[in-house]
Amino acid sequence: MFANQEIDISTIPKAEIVSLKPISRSYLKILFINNILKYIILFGLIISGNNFLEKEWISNVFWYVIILLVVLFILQSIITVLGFKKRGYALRTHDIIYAKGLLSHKKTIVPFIRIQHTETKQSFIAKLFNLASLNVYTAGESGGDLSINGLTRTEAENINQLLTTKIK
Amino acid sequence: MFDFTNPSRQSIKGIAVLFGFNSYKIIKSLFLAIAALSYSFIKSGKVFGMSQNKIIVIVFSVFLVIFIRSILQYLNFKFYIDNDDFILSKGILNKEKISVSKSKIQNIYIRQNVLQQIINVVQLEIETAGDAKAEVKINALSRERALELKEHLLSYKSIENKGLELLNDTPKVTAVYYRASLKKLFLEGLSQNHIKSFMIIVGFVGGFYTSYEDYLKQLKLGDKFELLVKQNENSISILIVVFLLILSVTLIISILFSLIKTFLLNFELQVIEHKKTIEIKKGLFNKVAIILSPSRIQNIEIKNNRLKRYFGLNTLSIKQAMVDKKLQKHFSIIGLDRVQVDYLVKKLMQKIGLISKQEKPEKYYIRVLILKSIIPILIFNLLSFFKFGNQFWIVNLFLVPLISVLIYWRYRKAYYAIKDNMLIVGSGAISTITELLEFHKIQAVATKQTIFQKIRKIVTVEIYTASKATKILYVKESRANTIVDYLLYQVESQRKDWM
Repeated sequence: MFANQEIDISTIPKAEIVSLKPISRSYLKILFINNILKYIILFGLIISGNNFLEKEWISNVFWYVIILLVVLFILQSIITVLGFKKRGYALRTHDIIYAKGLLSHKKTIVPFIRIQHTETKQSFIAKLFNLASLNVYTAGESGGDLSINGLTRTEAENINQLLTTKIK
Repeated sequence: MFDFTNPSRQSIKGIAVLFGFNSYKIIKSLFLAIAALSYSFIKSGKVFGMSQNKIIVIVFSVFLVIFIRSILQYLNFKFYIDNDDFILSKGILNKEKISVSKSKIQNIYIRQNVLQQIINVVQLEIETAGDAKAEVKINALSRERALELKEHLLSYKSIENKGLELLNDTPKVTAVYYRASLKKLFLEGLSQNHIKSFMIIVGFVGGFYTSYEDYLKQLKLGDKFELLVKQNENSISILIVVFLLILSVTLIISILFSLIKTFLLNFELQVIEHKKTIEIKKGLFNKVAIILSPSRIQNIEIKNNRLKRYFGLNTLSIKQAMVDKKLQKHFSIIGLDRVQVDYLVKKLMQKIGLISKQEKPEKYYIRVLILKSIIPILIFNLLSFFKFGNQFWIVNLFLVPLISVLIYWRYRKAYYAIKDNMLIVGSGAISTITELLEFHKIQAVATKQTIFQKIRKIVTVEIYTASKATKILYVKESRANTIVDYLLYQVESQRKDWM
């Protein structure tokens, strides 16, 4: 029989009270390695520029630029550490939740029935720490896709497995 | 009746179309070089020390090569229908074989550009699910053959086929619902955003100037202008007249540009009503026919402004999933009155109904808008400082009220409403924009919060469909959570397909 009852808003499952599962601690190391690599390249460029080009205006600003970069590096490191606590994911019966970001926090929720396909990826560095990332794609190009980094490999594969069965 | 089961070529006229396309491509890519060479030819009568006859021979042989290439392309281009597959093979050296299952065909477009109109053939494009780009394209078919091929391709019968409504929608119950009159097009053209046209013209002239700077310099326009100014240096009034003249000329050009653009794009705009779908036909040189089917529509946007409301000119833009980027801009109908808008929305989505409760963003939005306006205000002040020196602040007499009014409008026009099965979001400053989307088209939901918004417990909710992200700006955290939970509940409990 067809029924059309009124929905009691207060009984709808609440996504905001779901506690998010943190990602693997080792991912912080990867973030730091990426960060350091980035700054090594920047420092290298500036130092070699100073040594090889031998222009006066470069050596004038050289130390200011170095100090600025050091400050930026420290700031970014602090943000990375603090922001790391903001990363987290959760699975519910019908959807997957992922949140990240310190200065700008974004929490995305994708219902399983809207997932087009999923994939697990492992970068070169992630392989060393036995980590993987899980990508969840929805239809279209409007930006409802998820990319959960820093899961352990088994975790990523388990979730991927679960999602595959849920999509079908 | 045409036979599509055996491999066949397109119309022999296809050689001409291919020749046109190929020549156009080459001329476009070598435009600068050709311009430079013809310049030197006109100036000295010689290019690289070659005589006129030699040049003619070279140009002729280039076109001959293009012509031969076109013939080869034509000969190597074959298509046929094999049971449930449409198969297309092409390529002179790199052979390509594309097969498209009939069931995967999402849409078939029949188009005509200027060249195709002249030689009386049409272009047929097949669009498939999954691929955003329409790669399967037949350049030259007679209209009858194209229509029959279209029918053949859409004759796939399957219960699972989601595009079924397209197929069974035979044009028996067809009626032209709306036809844009010349008067409407004219009014639409007049009430366009002329600033936008102006920017396009400026961009075009700017781009033109930078690429031909050297030639223009030789024309010595700048010197002549300077001379003119110098001669009249003493009389400022003449300068003002010149300035006003330039301003009004650009304004007239902008308006003309808007008018012409509107006419070109929307000439003979027709909205044809089928049983379940709606077809849009429009265009002067580039004729397009688009089919809108409710199952594939993701978002609808209604746009007008005060002036347009007065004339009854609403623009309805439809965002459909899996559409070629180039075609997406044609998915709009201009010059509709309110009743027609309501009717079409009801047909394509569902009835809007009366919105009893418009919910507003938090006042924080005004603060954000004010902060955002500081940068343009600073820029204008700086510019005016260089121009007028110490009296630079005068510019603020105009600027501050203008920006205040814009901010006020933007805040006043921002609202959202959740009603029946629909999310309605209003926005705009000068124009009024109403976005509509149905719950079951939602792909994902996200909340966004900066660290400053966290202190104030304010959140922006983003709702993604397959073609667009819609934002509910700056609502209270608790309210945002309710919205997210409610939308997710709807998507997950309805379990309706989004396409």
